[in-house]
Amino acid sequence: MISLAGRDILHSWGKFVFTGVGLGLLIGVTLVMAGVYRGMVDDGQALLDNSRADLWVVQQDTMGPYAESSNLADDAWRQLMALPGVARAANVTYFTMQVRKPEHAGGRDVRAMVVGIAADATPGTPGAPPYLVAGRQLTRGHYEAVADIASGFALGDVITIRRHRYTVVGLTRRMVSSSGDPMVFIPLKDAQQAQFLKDNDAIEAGRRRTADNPAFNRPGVPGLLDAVNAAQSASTSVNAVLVRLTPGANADAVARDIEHSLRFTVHTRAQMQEILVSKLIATSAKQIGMFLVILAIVSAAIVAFIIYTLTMDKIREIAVLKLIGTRNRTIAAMILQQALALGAIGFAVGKISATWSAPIFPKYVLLVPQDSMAGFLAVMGICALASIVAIRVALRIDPAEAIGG
Amino acid sequence: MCSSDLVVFNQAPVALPPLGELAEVTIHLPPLPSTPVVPNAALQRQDGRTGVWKIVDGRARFAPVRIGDADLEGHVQVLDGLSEGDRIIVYSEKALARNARVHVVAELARTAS
Repeated sequence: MISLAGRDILHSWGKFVFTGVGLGLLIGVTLVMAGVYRGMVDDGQALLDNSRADLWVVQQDTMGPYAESSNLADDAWRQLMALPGVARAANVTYFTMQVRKPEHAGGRDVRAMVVGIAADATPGTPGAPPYLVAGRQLTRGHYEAVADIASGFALGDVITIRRHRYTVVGLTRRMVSSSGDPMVFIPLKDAQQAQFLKDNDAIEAGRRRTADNPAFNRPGVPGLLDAVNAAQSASTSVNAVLVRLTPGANADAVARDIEHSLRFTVHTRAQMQEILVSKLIATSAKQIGMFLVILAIVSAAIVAFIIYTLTMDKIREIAVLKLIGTRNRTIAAMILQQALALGAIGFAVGKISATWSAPIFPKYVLLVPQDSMAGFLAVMGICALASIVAIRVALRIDPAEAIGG
Repeated sequence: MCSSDLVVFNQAPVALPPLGELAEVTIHLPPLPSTPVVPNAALQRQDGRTGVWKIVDGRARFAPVRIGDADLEGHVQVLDGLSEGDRIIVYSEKALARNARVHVVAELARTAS
């Protein structure tokens, strides 16, 4: 038995393929949109995974350090290390800012999350980049940086963060903030200054203000003014302490211990995930999700229209088929097969275009096989549904139309 | 890195400098015995142990090592756990896991600026 659907497609294959490609691009956009959503969630996951922390110790009653600002003393980690169940504790600062390349290297600035990490960087320090793609980890306590490759910096580049210049000594990958900005790791001391130290003019104005204040500038107390000034310009805060637990320690129990004895707020991995996914990126994720739903509906409608018009174009041929006594089943199978073939071409083109275009996007686009699978089933389902409408019309065609018109 | 070691003069200065004087001191330490070194980017921590990822039969295998001194260029002495000729993974595109299949490429990132 010859395949009616195949014969009909071969009859006008150009039109069929182009329709399939057009449909495919639409499906591709839908897949990419799903990928954008997955990428957003994955950025948050990557942030948590790459910090390799079990507990986040932050300022009391804050949801820091990613969702809210949080400050605590930079010696708090010593107290934490003394607690049972704590294997490592490391200071960390997070600060999103514009990082500049020097003028002679183009002078453009990149939005990045500057992360201050303890510079001794013994392997496995929480907060430090867990793997590199080039260069080395930080070794010096000052003026070195490890940058995410998405920032566009290369090894040996000199970048400017606030008042200091840093040499890029290492490159890493997939180290991003929850909003997808690449991370730049610098030694903790430098990061504290970048975040908390004021510019020279502000310091000078502040000192003048202090000197004018009779409470701080007492004739009888020499040295008081200097001490006050020194205290004001000290930068001894960090945003969080990342804690790794000893194997077998119960995260919730240690978290409770820390909260009770040291009066900090502690977030476990599960809580942090909750904060990131359901608070920090909730609105933008919903926005993308809404867009995805609309796009899916539009795609479905367009698929249905295409298959309907393809059938309508063939009214005369179908009437002839009926006239020569073709069974209804055969005609229905032809339309269904064509619809499914169109869907398959469309899905293939869509999947390929999505896979090719995903790396071009400025933010991470994660194409999950499950999404593709669901997309494929949805496309096939929609094609089958749309063909039912077309089949109903085709079966109602009067064979007489073949002659009369 | 030592922070509070005793520094002894080979040759005492004629007039001792006053207290509080700043000096620039270069300390020559005895050369270390020759041992294998690995880049610090290769060092990883797995289940509380420091080690490196070796390539064994095209798969990643974690090998715990005992490390010695490190220098400022990122070389770390390996005292124990590796033998000469072992192939280790320095750079990876993502975090490695036990028995992960490894595909070796020329470079992961453009290294020249």
